[in-house]
Amino acid sequence: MKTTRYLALTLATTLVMLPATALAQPNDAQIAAIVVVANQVDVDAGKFVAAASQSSAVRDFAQKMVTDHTAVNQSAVALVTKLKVTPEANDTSKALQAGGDQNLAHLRTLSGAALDRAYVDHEVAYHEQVIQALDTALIPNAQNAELKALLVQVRPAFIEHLGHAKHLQASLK
Amino acid sequence: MKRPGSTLSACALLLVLACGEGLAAEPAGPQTHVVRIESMKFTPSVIAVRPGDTVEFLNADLVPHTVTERSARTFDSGMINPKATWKLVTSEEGTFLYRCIYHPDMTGRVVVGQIPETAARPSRATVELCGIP
Repeated sequence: MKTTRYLALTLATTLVMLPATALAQPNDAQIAAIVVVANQVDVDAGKFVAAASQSSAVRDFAQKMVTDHTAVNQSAVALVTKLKVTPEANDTSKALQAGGDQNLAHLRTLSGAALDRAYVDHEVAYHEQVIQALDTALIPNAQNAELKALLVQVRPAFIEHLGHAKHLQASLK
Repeated sequence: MKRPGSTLSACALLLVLACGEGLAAEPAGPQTHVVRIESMKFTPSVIAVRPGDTVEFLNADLVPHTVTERSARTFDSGMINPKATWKLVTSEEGTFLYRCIYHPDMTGRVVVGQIPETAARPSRATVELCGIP
């Protein structure tokens, strides 16, 4: 049982592993693409789990992810449209998309408690990685002041999500 | 040349006016107070108002929030989208604890009743304008 749990956690972490080299110095167009994809993959996973989970606590969390990350993406898209910045796909955004797709495919094979644990484990790892990316690559490298402000502004929400996910993770053990 | 005495008199007058304004701070009618929702916090988190006043909640965050009274949902804003506002018109006196139902760690308090005397005092900035420590 412990081995299964360990494998699930490892998988959750692997699915959100970001290529460190690609994150070194992204430009604003690349940052825009990373932000949009990062939010979208969490929306996609949240939509599936909000419908498939049998736990009201997990469904509520998943729905919150859908609501919040959709709203963040709307603001991000509105900003880059205003700034006339075209999001530029890059290794990081592609890795996020691939990881998100892989995660969703994995979740679709699960049900019940296994689904809840896999989803929540992934959410913990995902938010840790995204917050780290914000702090070390996205915020420091954003050139446009409004884009940088948006990244700074979104950080507290991601911190709250991480705290909620960890609380949920502890309750599922 | 400006005489030091005239500057001092002007400052003293300004201070007196400021203090007088503070003492006569009883509002003529209902007031509107603003609580900003930003960085996953209500600011200020505690606000004192008089019955009949309006508290306007402005969502300056990127995600939706609610302002939901905690005990019996005496008031509930429903979803307040980013950049949107919601107004609470107070009536009965009391202390009302509220939170965001999506982000339960976000809490605040509206105290409806007598506003503490300190709220009517002139600001520190007014005093410092005169160069008085």
